[in-house]
Amino acid sequence: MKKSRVIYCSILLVLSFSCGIPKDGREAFQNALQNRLMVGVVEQAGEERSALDAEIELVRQFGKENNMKVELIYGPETKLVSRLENAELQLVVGGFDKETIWEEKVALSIPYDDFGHVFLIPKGENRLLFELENFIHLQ
Amino acid sequence: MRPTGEFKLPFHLRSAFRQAVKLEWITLAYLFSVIIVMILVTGNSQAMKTAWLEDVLSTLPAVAFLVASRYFEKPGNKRFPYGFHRVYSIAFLAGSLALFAMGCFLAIDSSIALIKMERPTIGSVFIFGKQIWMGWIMILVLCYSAFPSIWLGYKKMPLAKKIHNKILFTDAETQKADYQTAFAAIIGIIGVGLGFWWMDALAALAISVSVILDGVRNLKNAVSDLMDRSPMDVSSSKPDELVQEIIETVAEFPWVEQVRVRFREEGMVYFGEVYVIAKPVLHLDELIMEAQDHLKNFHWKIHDISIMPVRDFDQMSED
Repeated sequence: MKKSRVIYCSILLVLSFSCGIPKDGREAFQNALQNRLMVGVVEQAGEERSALDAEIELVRQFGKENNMKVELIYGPETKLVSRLENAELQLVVGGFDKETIWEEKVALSIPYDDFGHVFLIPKGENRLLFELENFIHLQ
Repeated sequence: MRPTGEFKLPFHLRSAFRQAVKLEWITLAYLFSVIIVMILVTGNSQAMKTAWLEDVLSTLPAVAFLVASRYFEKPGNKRFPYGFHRVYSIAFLAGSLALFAMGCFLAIDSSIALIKMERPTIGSVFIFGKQIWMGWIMILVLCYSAFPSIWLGYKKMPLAKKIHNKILFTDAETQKADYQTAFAAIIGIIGVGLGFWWMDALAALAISVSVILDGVRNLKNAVSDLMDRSPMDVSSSKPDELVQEIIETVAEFPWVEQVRVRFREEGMVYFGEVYVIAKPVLHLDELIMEAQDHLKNFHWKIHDISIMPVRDFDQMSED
């Protein structure tokens, strides 16, 4: 293998360190910082309502720590996931876990509680996921 | 029925063969470790998935060589009068076909990912409380999958040339070039990290195209070998000069007027027929037996050779 190739690739790697990796594909985190964090909330009722309130509170804390305004948008699950796919929303909450049927369409965060519940975020938004997982880990 | 005789690698090559066997076992152990580690970190990166599958395929030449090495020295019998030398060629064909088929599958899979605009999401891990983006771990794993592979390739290449083993040669060549797969995948992951989702699928496509090209090249050589192509050097890039040396040696026998030959490869060795137009001499049969013995000892690659006197070469082309 030519040494030059090793050098070029090493330079590429080194440069990439200073480029703020990972970045979002559709600037989800940046948009949330500049405008507001758009959060889809799946309508729940009964006992699940209090669990949902806890999720929402967690999201508000995340927003606060990153100096983001948080806007909640309530709606049915399918519609919210569809908007999330198109990156119209940055986050969807609603008591999802790792076995969710939406795992092919969206990305899942690490679990934020002992029951394995996760947040849904758009696929490819790696910066947003990075910040969210850091926040979850520190809780 | 006269089965071909037993074949034993010459003494001076046995150490090279044993070393080759040892290196292939090391290769298998190393590749299994790479496969396990890559399963743990692959996630939903197309480039990583392609690199992982390529590593799985890389075990085939090593497995084929080790299996074939247990059979190739067995003497011929009634059922297999030409012996078991072709076991290498068959293993080579099987490996090439698997490589080609998997390359096609990977190309289609990566293209679908590109067309569907699948955006890979790569999360983080927490090691001793420190958050590390999984992409960096993937890059480290890819380096682990590349550099020892390159070293193994460079160690195997001279052995492959020494023992004229095409499976070993192909394996060595492929491993030497493994860094290309790793770097393509690394560029794909860095691309994802920079927000360019398509670089992952594009890197996967580039890797799969390279797998297809390797598969096609190896398939071509494997099929040609099984079709009894005239012997080529171990890289299959040019005819083996040994055949011409044999023609010249036979032509120098005082009792030979003209000579034509027909040789084919069977695994690591050659089987051949030598047709001679003999001068009018006494005891031609004894001269032929002496010549056959001489040619069998001419080079270790000449395993089975027959000399046949003919009246003319009208039925045989010059080329």
